[in-house]
Amino acid sequence: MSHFLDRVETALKDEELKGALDRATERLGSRRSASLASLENSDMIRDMARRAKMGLLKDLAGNLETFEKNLIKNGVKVHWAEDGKAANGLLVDIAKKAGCKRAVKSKSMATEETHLNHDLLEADIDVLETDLGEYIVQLAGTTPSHIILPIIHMTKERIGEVMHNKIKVPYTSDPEKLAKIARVKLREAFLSADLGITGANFGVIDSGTIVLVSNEGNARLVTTLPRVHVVVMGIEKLVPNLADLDLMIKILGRSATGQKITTYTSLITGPRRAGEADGCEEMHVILLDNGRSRILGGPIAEILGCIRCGACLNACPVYKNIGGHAYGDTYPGPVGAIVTPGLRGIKGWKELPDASSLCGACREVCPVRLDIPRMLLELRKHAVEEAKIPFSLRMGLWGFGEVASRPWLYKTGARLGGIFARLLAPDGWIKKLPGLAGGWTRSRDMKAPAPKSFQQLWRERAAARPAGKPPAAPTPAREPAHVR
Amino acid sequence: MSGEASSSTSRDARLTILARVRQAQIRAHIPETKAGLPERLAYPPTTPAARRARLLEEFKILGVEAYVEESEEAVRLRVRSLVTGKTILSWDADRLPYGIGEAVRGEKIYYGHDSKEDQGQAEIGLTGCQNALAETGTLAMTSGQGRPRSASLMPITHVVVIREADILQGMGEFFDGFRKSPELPYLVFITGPSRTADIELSLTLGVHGPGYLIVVIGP
Amino acid sequence: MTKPKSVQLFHTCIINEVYPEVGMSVVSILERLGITVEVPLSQTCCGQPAFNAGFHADARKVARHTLDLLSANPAPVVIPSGSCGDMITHQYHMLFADEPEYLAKSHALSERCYEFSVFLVDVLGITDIGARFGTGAADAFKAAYHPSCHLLRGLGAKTQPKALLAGVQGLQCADVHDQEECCGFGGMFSVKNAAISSGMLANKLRNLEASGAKSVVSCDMGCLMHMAGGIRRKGMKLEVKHLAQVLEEGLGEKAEL
Repeated sequence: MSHFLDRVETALKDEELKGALDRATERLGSRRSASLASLENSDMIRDMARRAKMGLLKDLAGNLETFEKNLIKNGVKVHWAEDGKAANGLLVDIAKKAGCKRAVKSKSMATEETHLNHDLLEADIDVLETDLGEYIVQLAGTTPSHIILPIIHMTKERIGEVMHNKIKVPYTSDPEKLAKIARVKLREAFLSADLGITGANFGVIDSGTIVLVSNEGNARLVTTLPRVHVVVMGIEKLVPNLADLDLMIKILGRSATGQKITTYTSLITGPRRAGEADGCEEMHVILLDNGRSRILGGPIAEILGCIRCGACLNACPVYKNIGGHAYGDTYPGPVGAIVTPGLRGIKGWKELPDASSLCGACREVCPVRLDIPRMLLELRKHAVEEAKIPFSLRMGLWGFGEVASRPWLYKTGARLGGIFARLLAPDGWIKKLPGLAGGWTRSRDMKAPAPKSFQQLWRERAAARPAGKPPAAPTPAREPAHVR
Repeated sequence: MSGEASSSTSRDARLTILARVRQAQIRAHIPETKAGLPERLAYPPTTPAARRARLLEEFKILGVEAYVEESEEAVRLRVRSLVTGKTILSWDADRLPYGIGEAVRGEKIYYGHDSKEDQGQAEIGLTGCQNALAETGTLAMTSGQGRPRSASLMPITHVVVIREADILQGMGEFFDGFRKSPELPYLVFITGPSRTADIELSLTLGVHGPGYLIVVIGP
Repeated sequence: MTKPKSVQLFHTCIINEVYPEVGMSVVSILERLGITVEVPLSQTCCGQPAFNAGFHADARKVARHTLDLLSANPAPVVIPSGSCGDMITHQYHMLFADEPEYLAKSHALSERCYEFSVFLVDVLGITDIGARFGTGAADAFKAAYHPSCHLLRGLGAKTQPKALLAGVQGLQCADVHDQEECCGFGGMFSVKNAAISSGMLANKLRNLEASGAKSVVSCDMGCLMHMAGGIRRKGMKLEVKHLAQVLEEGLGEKAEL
């Protein structure tokens, strides 16, 4: 795969992407603030939601066993998958055993993570994404770039072309017409599908319930029409009970799109019951580890509380500049910069935690108050311990600890550096720096160190001042200052 | 249908994953959370009139067409005027309130036991509703015998009839009603028409579910 | 707390090496308010560059030195930087999580460490120090406040710098779009991820330019040095100033040097 910095350069050159990102993140961000402001006790609700999420991680194993027991009691078959390959294999087995040939899917991060569609097609099982954005992504043969808005990176004209080319409908760029076309096309697929695949926004431990939220209603169709329903969910996606679910629902929609609640919230507690006319006949839940247990044992366990609202993406100035694809995997933005190295290992992904100014905007908007900057710092530390550090950076920081803990050495070094820097900058500004530092002068001049340091000025002042003179002048009364 | 772990690989995986999680949670650094929070959210008492007003306000924001009727007969008339001449996908007559099932007799009606293809022909879904949740403008629907999920989902228009007495303040109160029940029915919370903003953030209604949601509130 | 008579100034690397005049402005303001300023001369760096890059062992060496030095004097510490302030008052806890002696020291010290504007407003209870510009509203000096991320979100100081600026007569605070968004500095980030950082800076400068401000005022010279570098490269007219410089200029006479 391409290198992170190359993907960044590509994204930064894409003016269309930049415009789309600006509009979308600004709109979602401002709606989020307005919507949370209108929620009474929103700070307390966020604190309570955080408590519920963090609390269940303390005994995740016990909670999983209880959840499993309740699922089974509700007539659900429960499966466990150590990694993505295993999850996909289980799903293919379930489909084959049940004689399913045509699958419809509603948006699911977990199955993006396991690259499920590829394995299903390989096993001769047709699979169609049904979320409008994901459907277009699938037609275009690309990947989603935002957790909530998968095709934030595409213009309506490009979407029109994709639909025209791939499903042979007359070209249009009218969003309403495009959506209507998708409704008709996908409705046919829903009616003929025998397998529905979803993720889970939440699993309610004490009732054994799978919770799905969607605005379009596709998750409802996927779980209502086909006779078999398979849920693929990460082992962390639990909430203790319905009261906690209430908290999550209150903050999820508001944080994601600024809606008080998403249009459809489905609570599915087992397959259809006696006397019911619809709903699946057979329901399976695949509990996916795929690196989550490793995350739990390390310093970024907190990220397992993420509810995938996408608010941190919209708040993140880095995401706003580069979009989702530059992150190179399923989860973009600040959450991706933690989840991806967490799930896949730091090797090959250490650029992600580095790509943050640690501004903390993500932490501020996170509905469950995840301390994302802290986790980025943990991953950077881990990368230093585990991975190879570029030589130039190693040289730059080598001895920093030794030198900067010895004042004399430090000052001498800094002064010498200053003298050298001023040679490069007769007017006090450096236009081009060598090596890694050249990154700075790519778009900025660098101010050269001052001829006299603060400490020099301070010492000179002390020397010039007669001993015993009180340094403090009384506060002057207000008097006119010079006019600027 | 008996639930169980399926294949042997999955059974092995179960043991492996649980063992890993157990190991991990011993040394996990789970941050402390804020102390002094209440055990549960409290719901300040509200009046039926206030709940109805709030519900209507939320409906307005969501683009839900709402009618408040003063008598049972008025509810039947309203519903009849909304569905006359259309193909209907309905809950069973005995599951609808106010004798609406009788009132619409004579129209072209499909029910949950009809084929999905037939149900797919319907232009209007006609249902009752367990509760409405005022603070979000939400309809809390359960499904069961004679109350198919498809009726609130497949047609482009969904007509819902609710009783004013069934308006609750919010989801928390609604869930409280299930605290003692042994198992949850299938539940869906519906808040406004089906919508998407996937294409350049432009709002489009009715992309998969109903694009028109009409609520009739009866006495 | 009772009003302290003296403080120790942790002047930060950038001020010491690049912007010494800002340090002098800070001293001048504090002395005008009757505070004796001590400058521990063997201070070096808070250790943030190494810490943020993941080099915790190196950062700890520097942080131990800083903690030992500042803990030796019971006077409150004033830091004219939200970023270094956040490092010392918060990040040291993470750095010394497994070192009880220094963890205790860092907790004790963080109780009496204050960023400059926080010290003025929360400790001294001052928002108007008598600074003024111009003679009336017509020729008001228009400045854009840039809340640095670590001051705003790290130390949670949203109101203090704004209150001090509001207390300056004849200074008009410009409305800046996305005012609370990062300028793209982030220390080593600006070099390692220069492309992204440059994109963020371009947004910030565009918004500052559109605000019509003459100056951008902040409490962190790191961010200001970053913005100044971009302003100069683009040939823009904007000046950058630390809050202490604005206050000092508004008082109309240079500090006694």
